[in-house]
Order: sequence, then C-alpha cells, then structure tokens
Amino acid sequence: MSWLYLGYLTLALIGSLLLARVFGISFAGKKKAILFSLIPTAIVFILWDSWAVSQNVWEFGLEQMLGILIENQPVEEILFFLIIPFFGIVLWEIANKMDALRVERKMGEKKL
Amino acid sequence: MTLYTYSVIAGFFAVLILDFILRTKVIRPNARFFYTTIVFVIFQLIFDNYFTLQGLWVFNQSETLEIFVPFIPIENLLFGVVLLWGTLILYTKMIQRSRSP
Repeated sequence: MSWLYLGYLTLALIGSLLLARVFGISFAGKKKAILFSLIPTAIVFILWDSWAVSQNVWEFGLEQMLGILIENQPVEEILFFLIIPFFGIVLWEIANKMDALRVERKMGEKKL
Repeated sequence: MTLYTYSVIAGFFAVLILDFILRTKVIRPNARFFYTTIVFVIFQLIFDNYFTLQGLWVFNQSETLEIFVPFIPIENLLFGVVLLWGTLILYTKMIQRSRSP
C-alpha cells in the first residue's frame, strides 16, 4: 500500500487550481458546467478502463496505491478521470482568455 | 494491433461525432484548440511516462501497435486526447446552454 498515486493526483489538482488563479480564471457560474462535463466523461472512461483491465490491455501497480478497489478500478484511477479533465478545462479557459485578449488588442489597433 | 488500438480509434471517432452532433465546434483548427491539446499532450508525455516507469500501470504490449513514445504506447496518447476533447465538448455544450436559456 502506498499514497504515491493519490499524492500525484493531489498535486495535479492543486497545480490546476493554482494555474487558474495565476491566469485569473473564475469559475463563478460555471460549476454546473464543470460537473456535468466531468461526471459523464468520467463514467464513460471508467467503464472503458474497467473493460480494458478485464481484457488484460493494462494492469495497475497496486503496491503504488491505497489498494481500495471498486470492481477492478483503484479509487485513484476514478479520481484521475475527474482531476485530469479538470486540468484540461483550466487549459481551455486560459486559451479562451488569450483569444479574448487577442481580439481586444486587434480592436484597439483599429481604433488607433 | 488489437484491443487498445481499435478501442482508442473508436473513441476518437466517437468524440468527432459528438462534437458534430452537439454543434460545439471544439475540434477545429484554431489557436485555442491547438494550444489546449498541445499543452495537455506535453504534460501527458511527461507524467504518463514517469508513472509507467514508476510502475503505476503496466501496458500489455500485445494489445498495442508496439509504438512507444518513449515508454508509453502511442494509443495512450490518443486515449488522453479523447478524454480531453470529450470533456471540452460537454463543457462547451453546458456553457452554451447556460448562456442561451
């Protein structure tokens, strides 16, 4: 039993939140959108992962994890499918913000 | 080329179709799409390789094309990208819905 995988995931979550903070990303009014995009995707990927494990496509190094399994899925793997896509949403929001800034700058140039 | 390869290709087409059906226009050749995907894949290359070396997961090579970048199967990169795009499509749909009641 090890906290390794859970530790990495915690760092990924903290990193994503810090990244959002640094780039001034606000999730006000977007919490529902975040939940309703993360949860269905996670369900599909957990089923996919579970199928892959049952077909011996990959296996887990359970000695690096808490060893708590739901069916054949370690709890960390389930959290992975929520935390990593959240990181993706943060990147997407940063990209959208960069786009908006670029449009603003262009409009500013036109005015000059 | 077997289960991992086929299932990840199916997943790839599934997100393309989802983007089309929901009219979310996430998968488009524009700056925000490339930026998000490229940064995500760079993180994936670093951490998935590191985790594979740490033994968090072990891939069965016979279910892949046996093309490794440099330690993870190429299918795994596409798996991550499908996870990213699928989430962004649903997220965009939810944001669109909240803006136009």
